[in-house]
Amino acid sequence: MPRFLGFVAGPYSLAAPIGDVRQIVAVGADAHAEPEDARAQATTSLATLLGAAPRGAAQAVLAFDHGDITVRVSCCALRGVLDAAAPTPLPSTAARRHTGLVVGAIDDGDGLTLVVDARVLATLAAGGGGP
Amino acid sequence: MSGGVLIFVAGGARLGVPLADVTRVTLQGRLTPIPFGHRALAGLMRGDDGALVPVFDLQALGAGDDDARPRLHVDGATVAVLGTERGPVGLRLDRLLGTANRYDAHVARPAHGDDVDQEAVEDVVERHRVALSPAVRATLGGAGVPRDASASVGTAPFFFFSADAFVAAVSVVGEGGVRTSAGAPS
Repeated sequence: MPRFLGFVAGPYSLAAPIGDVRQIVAVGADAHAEPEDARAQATTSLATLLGAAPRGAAQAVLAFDHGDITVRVSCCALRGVLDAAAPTPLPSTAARRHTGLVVGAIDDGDGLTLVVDARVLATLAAGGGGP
Repeated sequence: MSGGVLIFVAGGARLGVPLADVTRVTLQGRLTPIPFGHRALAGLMRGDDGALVPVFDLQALGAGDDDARPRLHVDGATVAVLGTERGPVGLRLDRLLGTANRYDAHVARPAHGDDVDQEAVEDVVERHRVALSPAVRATLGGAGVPRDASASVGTAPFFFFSADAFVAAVSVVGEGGVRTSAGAPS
């Protein structure tokens, strides 16, 4: 059974295949601290990136690979590891931009969670497109 | 004309859909919002048959405000799930009026693939002083007046809602300049 890392960004309940998440950088109070290493890339709010308002202070920072660099995005909450069947693809009638971002939805016992393509997410976070 | 028509109010407009095009009418389940969704897209619902159904609210089409978003949760909301060539479309109803088995066609429904006579639709809109936003007008496919309707349906004119025309109307050029089947700006 596939495993996903579930996280929340603003109103969105999202998940990524667990192997596609480079690193859980911080969870809890550490998530709102600025990186001590000045060379570290700035953290992008995932909710803002998706055109929504974050809900409260960031509670987790995740890192995704984007070519030779690693992008860091902050989330409103980390839901943990989700075991679920393979995602059901979204119907093409679900009108949206960036159609490659959400590849499907899984039922994790707490409603539908949207599964994102980590590469597309990283591209958006790296400035390759946004709202 | 005969053939059952489901008549309802959506986005403030009195609309109808042939019963043959209605997959089911159901209470709105829990909706999951979708990033970068079209402004009329309220969210994604798991249908009774397990299929994923995007639920739209026509109210947001008439708002004229690009930032207007449909509410995620509406108490007791009814959703009509309609079949289209591209997949299911859920339409949140303001009010379900009922069915009519016979009606007089004011504007004939076009044959499959043909465009509706927009001038004739406009004539009905003007004649009956119906308030319809331009965006909603683009989703219409004919008009009629019920003949044997119940009191809840009444005899006021209704407009056929075309789910296929609606899906086409919310389509835009997606990222990379590729026309997606249903991408759309917020």
